[in-house]
Amino acid sequence: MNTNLAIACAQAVLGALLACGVWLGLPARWLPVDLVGTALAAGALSAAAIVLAPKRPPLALRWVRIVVWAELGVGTLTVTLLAASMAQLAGSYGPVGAGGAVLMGTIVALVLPYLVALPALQLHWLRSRSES
Amino acid sequence: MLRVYLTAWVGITLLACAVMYTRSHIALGPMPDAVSQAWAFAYLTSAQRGAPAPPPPDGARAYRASGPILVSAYHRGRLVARFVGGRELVPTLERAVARIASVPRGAIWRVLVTRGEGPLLSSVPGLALLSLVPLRDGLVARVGGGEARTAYLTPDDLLEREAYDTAVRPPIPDLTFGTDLDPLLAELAEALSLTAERLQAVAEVSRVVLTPLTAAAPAEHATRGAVLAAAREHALFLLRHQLPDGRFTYVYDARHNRARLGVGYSLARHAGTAFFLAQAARALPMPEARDGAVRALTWLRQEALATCGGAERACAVWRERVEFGASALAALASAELLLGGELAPVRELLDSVSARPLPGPSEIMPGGHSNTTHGEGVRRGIGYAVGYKNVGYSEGFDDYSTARVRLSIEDGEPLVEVHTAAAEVGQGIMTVSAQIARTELGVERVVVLDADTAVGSAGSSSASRQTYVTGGAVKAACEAVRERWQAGEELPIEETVEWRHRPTRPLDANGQGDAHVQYAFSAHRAVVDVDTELGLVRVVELATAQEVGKAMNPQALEGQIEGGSAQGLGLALLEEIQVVDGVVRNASFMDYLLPTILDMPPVRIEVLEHADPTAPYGLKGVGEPPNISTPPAIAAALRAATGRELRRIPVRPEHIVGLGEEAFVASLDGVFEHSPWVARAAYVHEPFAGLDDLHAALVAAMREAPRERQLELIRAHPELAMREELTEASSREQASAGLQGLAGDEADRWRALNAAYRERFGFPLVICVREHTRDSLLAWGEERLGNDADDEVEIALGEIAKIARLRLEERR
Repeated sequence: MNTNLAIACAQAVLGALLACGVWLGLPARWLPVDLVGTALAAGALSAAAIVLAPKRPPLALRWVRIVVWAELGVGTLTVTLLAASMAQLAGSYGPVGAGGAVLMGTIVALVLPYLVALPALQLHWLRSRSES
Repeated sequence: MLRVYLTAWVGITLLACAVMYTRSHIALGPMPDAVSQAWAFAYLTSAQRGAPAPPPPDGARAYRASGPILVSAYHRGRLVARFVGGRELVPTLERAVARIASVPRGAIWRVLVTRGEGPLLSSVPGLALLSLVPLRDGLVARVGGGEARTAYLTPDDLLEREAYDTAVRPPIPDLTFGTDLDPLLAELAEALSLTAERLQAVAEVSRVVLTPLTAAAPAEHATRGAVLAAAREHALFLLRHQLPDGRFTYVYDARHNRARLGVGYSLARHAGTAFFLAQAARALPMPEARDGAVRALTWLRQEALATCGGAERACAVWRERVEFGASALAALASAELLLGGELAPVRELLDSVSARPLPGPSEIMPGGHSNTTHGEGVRRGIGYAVGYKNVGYSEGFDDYSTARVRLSIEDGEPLVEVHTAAAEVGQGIMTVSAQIARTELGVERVVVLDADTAVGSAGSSSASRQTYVTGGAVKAACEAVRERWQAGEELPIEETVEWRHRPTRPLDANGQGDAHVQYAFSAHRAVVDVDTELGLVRVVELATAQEVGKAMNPQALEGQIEGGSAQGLGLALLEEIQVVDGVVRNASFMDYLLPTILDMPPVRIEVLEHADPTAPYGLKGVGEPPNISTPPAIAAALRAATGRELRRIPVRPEHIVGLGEEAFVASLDGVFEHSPWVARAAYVHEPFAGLDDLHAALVAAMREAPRERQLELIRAHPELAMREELTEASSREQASAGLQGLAGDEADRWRALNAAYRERFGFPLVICVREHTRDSLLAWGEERLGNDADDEVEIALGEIAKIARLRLEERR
């Protein structure tokens, strides 16, 4: 029960963050980002609801696992692109300097916990659960 | 599976980073050494002039670039020729000269060496959106290989498309990310006669690092001195392009030696320039840069500063838009000016005169050859002074001068006639006018005609203004003639120009404002030998430093400074128009004391040139400033030698030996009863213009004295109508009022009054008796017994002042 609650909380927080981030935080609309962000937010919120539901529908855990994998995929892709961008800028302009490092580090720090570390942890729990 | 995924992700990310870095990074190839770089420009310039080319140094022969070497020629800002050579420097330059030998004279050469090449990297989805090329790099497009099918966009070309002012390069050339790629690709396609789509299909487009050779290769690490020198150069450049109202022209592109067109005035750039000038003024120091920054900020304040959002905070508003950057830079510039402190070059001038070696012992003693001393009683004194003088008519006066210049051919030679109404009073305006005409028109035969107001007003020869205003008018008239001449007009050509300096404004109610067109500064050091027993003075040497803006004619300028110093020496020691009650007391100007060549010491002159950017050639008026700083320097030297205050000029022998004060005090003996200290205190204000002036000074000395001293003065007066010893004046005054020899009741009443008065106030009753009768004296004396002590002191002092006035009038 505690694991379910933790996963539900994580998904709810992530879903709320993504929805608010995309629709309130971003200054301009950009379809690819809006679409992916909204879809992920909806998936996370639905996963949170499913995990906490007293009577889970069939394939519920499978849906949660799909959502979490999607989150992990988007997160790792984002971090990879950011890192590659940094490498390209360093190649073109020389060292990005302290300012560039802080900027990129901040972005990565915002993405890594929510879209990489947390989904990876959830997948680990979910796998343990299915094995048990 | 999760572990596999994460491991793969980390690996892929690291790999992507490595690939991206490797593909985008261009390892820079070598540059030619400094000698070879300098040779390249010497070679090109020689070839352009048809002169023998210098042989290439070994470094140039051995140099091999990482890619092609480009040689470009710019004329009046336009690219007139470009040659893409090979990787060797010497053959490339030789072929370039042969291929583009027809470039016009005055063209500017640019040699760029390829130091590396890399792909454009538009394949990464996120980065493709940026589509930027670093400004320090160029682009090269090749179709099928070969020189004929190669098109370059060099860093110069890319800079050309940027909006920022290239006259002053940004400190970090690639501070900005780059420029939009699509229009650049379209240009490359056009150069290769392709469409943009076709270019992407058939051509290879790469980034290329092209580094320009420099005529004088920069040092590896700039020294502080080099940075300051560069800052001074930049500041002077900016000041040359500042308009009188404080704006900058921003029309000059140093890279291409041409005017920049189509670039709108930028408030942020204006404020940034003011900031730079203020920094230069503080760091160098550089007074003219400070002036420029002040003018720029004044324009900003008048034209663009507003209050924001109803608050008192100032912000810069330009074209209905708040310019935050301009506001911030203006604030920084103001702060720099406040930190800078000195506006006047006082320290520089004083440092200059004090650094001059002091003269040794003088062979000629004070008193000259009259053998008054062999050195006994002679002391040496050194004094310094600084003065400043406004130049020209001030406070909004319409100050102008008129000049007519005629260019003709006479006897087959060009002749320039210059005609103004400027009065030559020895300052050299005739010479300078001819000099300006020769400079501006390049004609040797120049005739300056006799001054004539029919040409138009030149104003007075005063306020150190003629070279400034009439010189400016001659220059402007010459420029107008030259313009018509260069346009192909036939001679003779004549132009008459009224020329004005920048406008000034009246002072406001608080005495503030831009009232004067410019200030000129000078400092003097005087060395004097003084015979302290006889009061004789010999000025041994005058050393002076003067800020002149620009020395138009150094010899004439030194003559003016020496003349001004001689006049200053006269004011300090000899000259005096003595006026008493509005009447000149000097017998005649025949025996008026002026310094002669025998009185003049050697004058050591140091000239400081801080060009005034708003004045013609940067000049400043020079006639009067030495006249201002010489007298106080000599007076200071005399003070140092004698230890006396010497608070007046001319300093006479009696002042030096102290006889002046004693004679003055003695002459006023008895005006104040037994109180010579009053005259002594008033002496510092000598000379006096008349009786009123002298009386006012004496009364002021009495009233400014401490209360105890005032009471002493009152107590020094005798009691009225009593049989006691009186001064001659008191005796005469009391006798005139009938107060001597009283008897009976009247004498008793006076005795009782005096006793009661002294008992009540502690000093005798003082009345200016000549204004009273016997009866009114007694009545007023009894009435005053009812006053309090302070009131009575004031009344007594007032009566003493009246007595003194009457006694002074008696002595006239």
